[in-house]
Amino acid sequence: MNDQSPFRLAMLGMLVLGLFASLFARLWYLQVVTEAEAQAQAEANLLRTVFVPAPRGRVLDRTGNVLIDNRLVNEVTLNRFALTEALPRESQRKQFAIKLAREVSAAGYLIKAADVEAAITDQKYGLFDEVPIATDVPERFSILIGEREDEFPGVGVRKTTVRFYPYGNLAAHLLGYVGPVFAEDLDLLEGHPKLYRATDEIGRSGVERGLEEVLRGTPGIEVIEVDAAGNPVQTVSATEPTPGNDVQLTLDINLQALAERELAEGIRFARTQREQGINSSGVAEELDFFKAPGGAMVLLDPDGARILAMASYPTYDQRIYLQERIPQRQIDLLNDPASGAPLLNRATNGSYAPGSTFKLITAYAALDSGMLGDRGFLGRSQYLVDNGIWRVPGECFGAGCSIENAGQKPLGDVDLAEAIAQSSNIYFGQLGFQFNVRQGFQARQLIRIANDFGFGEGTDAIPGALAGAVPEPANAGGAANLAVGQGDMIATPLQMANAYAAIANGGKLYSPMLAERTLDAATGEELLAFPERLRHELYMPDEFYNPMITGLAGVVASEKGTAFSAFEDFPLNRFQILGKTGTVENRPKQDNAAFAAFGPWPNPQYAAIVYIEQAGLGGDSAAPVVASVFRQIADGNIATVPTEAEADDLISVAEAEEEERLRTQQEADREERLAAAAAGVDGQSFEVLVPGEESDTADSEDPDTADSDDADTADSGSEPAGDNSNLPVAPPATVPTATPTPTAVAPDEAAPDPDATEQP
Amino acid sequence: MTALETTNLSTRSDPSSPWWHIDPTPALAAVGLGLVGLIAIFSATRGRDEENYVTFFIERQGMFLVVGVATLFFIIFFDYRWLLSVVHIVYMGTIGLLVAVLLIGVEANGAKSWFAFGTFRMQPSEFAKIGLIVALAALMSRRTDGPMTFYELGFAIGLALLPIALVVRQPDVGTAMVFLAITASMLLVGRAEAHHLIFLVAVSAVALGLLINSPLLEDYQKDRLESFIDPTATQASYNQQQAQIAIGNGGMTGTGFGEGTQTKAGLVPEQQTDFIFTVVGEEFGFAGGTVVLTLFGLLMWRLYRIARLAGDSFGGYLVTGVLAMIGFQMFQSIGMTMGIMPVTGIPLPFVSYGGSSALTSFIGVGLAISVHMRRFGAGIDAEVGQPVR
Repeated sequence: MNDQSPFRLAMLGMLVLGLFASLFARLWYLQVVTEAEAQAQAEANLLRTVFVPAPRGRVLDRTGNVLIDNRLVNEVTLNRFALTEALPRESQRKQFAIKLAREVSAAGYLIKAADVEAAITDQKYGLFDEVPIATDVPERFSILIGEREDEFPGVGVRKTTVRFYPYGNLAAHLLGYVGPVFAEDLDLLEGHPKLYRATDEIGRSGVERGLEEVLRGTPGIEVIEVDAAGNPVQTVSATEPTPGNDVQLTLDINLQALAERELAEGIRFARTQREQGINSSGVAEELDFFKAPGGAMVLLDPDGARILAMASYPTYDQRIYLQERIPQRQIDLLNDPASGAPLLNRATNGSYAPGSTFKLITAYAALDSGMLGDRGFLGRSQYLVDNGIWRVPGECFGAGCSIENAGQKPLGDVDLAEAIAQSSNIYFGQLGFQFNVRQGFQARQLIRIANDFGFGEGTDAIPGALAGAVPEPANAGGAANLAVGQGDMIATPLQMANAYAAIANGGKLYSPMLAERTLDAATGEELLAFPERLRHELYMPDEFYNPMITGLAGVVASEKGTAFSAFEDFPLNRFQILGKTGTVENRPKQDNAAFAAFGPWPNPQYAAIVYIEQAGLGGDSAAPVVASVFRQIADGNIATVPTEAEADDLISVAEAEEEERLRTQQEADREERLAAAAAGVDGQSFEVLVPGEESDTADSEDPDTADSDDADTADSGSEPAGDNSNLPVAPPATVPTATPTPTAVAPDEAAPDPDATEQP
Repeated sequence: MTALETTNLSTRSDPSSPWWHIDPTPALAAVGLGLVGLIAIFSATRGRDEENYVTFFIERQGMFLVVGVATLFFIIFFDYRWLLSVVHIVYMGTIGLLVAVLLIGVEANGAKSWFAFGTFRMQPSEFAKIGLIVALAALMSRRTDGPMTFYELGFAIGLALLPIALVVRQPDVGTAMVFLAITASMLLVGRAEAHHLIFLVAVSAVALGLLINSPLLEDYQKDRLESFIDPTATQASYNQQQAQIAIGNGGMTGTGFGEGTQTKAGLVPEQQTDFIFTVVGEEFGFAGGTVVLTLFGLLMWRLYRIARLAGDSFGGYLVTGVLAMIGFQMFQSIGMTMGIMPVTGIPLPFVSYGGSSALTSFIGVGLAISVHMRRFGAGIDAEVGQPVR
């Protein structure tokens, strides 16, 4: 008889039964529970969806100069599937990463093995996607890879487009940059008709972001059936990519260059000036130099509030965002307040008090509400005694309880026009105070007019622009403070410029516009013209308008005017400027300087603001910048900015001429020396080289003011491969006022601006 | 009564005749599996050319099945106990073949596992399974009283380890695992003491750990094991992933014959042999998979029953070994395609393409049927010269 233990055999039977149960359960799970998932994957396995990227549209200025272009470059990619097929072991892939990094770096694009490994494991890309490793590698690299296919499995080189800025970092803040789509944005873009994917680029700031909808093209989709090895069998369906549309801006690149240059010049000049103060014994004394860490300039066309130029200082080089991986160090530097936070667009996102430039709004509010009128505080042309200092009556605590003029200067009897021209804080402070306390008036009326002028309201021309705030004053002192543009009010230079554009055009407040029209990229045909957007039309009868205009004219033209000195030599007779200074208290820091203006009166075509942080009086620091810009506009003397490529040509022409000059001089020197030697005079041989040395030092320029160069802050250590490190400095610094003849582009223009030296 | 009298007239009606006790079920289940296998193999190997399908594989496999059934039929005429008299020759022959294949075998897929005879190939490690089962069964049934001594246990393990070592040398870890499963099952069912078995399990666990980290295993073998432990890693896990997608793609009723996109696109490797179940799963779905599992279930159940009812311990151990062999191979081969076992190249008995595997499986079933037929053992012992137990 069988001597096997039935119990033991039953154990084996139970085990087999258990195995059956698990197989059966697993089969059920795979084929019934997760069937749909597997079927989707099986389908995906056979069909590869290839996205054919569409080029982004270009950005043009208002005369058609291309500001952002596309450039065709070689991109090294890696096919993970092919790589893992060829190199199944992790250690092999490590070796491969080192080898590839070495090859790519040798070709001129510096990457690390860790970057390659990161790309291999990047979760954004699917198993069959081509993962980009390096862009902009030279042509010879693709030849090399083609020759050594076995050594670099899965590595390919393809053509791709990257953004290209013909004018370098001009208008960097305004134009912005593109970057990868963030994961959180991708959720929002789900179902977008332009098919965003995690590997796509999207406009991250400036025009690139604001006009993303226009600029982005629609990628083509090819659905390809493949076999197990990934080889295409047939194309199932294909749609062509549709390129993005071009955008024409209201911006004028020549005016932009002018604004950036003059702003930088003005800031540099401000740093050479000392703050004036009064010491405890009442004696005037000189304090520290102005720090002037940054500033902004906005130039608008009052007709429609078109942005003609918008400069923010310090600026940066948006080309650092072209790098595959941006070093954190660079990003930190761009946001570092110590370096002036170059990434901040001060024109749209600087949060400043408008200072005395706000007095015009107070004036209009007073006229409109009747505060200046028969039943108000003063008659429209009634005078008020300005003693230079005025205290809010009654109990008052906090800011604004004591209003004083700059330097506590008594201005005597002032009416509205005089108060504007001489910037009487006493006059406007009392108006503000009256809004708060007078029967039938409210501080809210002042706020509402400020809102009508665009303060406290956002703009959509510039994405992410600050809306600012006009908070309700807490007490009478606060109201007085608000009336002179101080206190808690927050405004951006763009808002200030826009308010003055509204005054310039007789009371029409437009929403600032930057995009003029969209164009078909291929044909250049206009597709869509963006309309002007009138936000408010202010009631502006002559009896309101005239005293304001008279006052503004007086600021510039009257000897008592706060900006008189800046416009002393200005051809006001043929290009009349109306403006208003602002000196904004900014304790504990130094005062901010502002100057808002428009011209030529009576048909203003330009409204401008210059706002410089910590630079003292608006009439001393800001007004000269506006004067200098307007002078060049008035003279029709706006330099045509060369693109970087053109500038390079000009520089090489200039260098060739310089070399020629040196060579002839050296020859002359040699002859002279020979002649001297012949005459028995010795010891001059050391000085022969001096002219050459001189030009060398002039080339490398301003060692002590290096940080004030507008390109420098972003530039230091920011160039990706150090390839064209001389470029960012070239265009703004090397293009002086004259037309770009080679001689005008001589690299050494260290002499101070003549406008600056005019200042008392 | 008349009915009884009429049956008495033929051999088949003689209750003492082995033929009275024949159980055809396992054979029928095996043939059924073989037929399913033929369909799946044709689907996997016919190629894309619709005018001119490749029929080489099903012709061969059909022939193997016929030979297999014939062998089975041949075996049941013999009393399995005859094996006891030739067990030494069987074992030595097995070892001899395994040694010879290392010396003169041909290599395929990185393993030196085959003898080549013209267009035919023979895989001795398949037949060695039967050899090991016979040898272990004979050893364990030599003494019927009391539990196995430590010495006997050691001898049995030594008997098993020799062919295992030779198979690992090929290297063919999958087949070696089948050997291990056979040995472990037979020791479990045999009279080995529980504490000995627990000790053995502990020792083999340590040994396995050392093996994985030793230079004995080839890189691809380590990869497979590692990928089972960490499924995100390598090529082997990719295969397994694709196999599971294939099976899931089948759904309830399957994509239909020849319509499995995963298998047709070649995303699943070795689909006519080790991964054959993915073809069944994808093209015939849960229904087809259930048919295969049911046929295996029927076979297992009958083998279990035969082992229970075996007339002597030799027969019982013999059938236990066959049960373990087929059961483990089935679980490993199907489980691998569904991601619950690591990827090791083990054919699915009766279903996968391959002559040696099919023949071995049929021999196993034939032996089992032979055991069942002769479970009452009357008058036969004298014939083979064994003492009655």
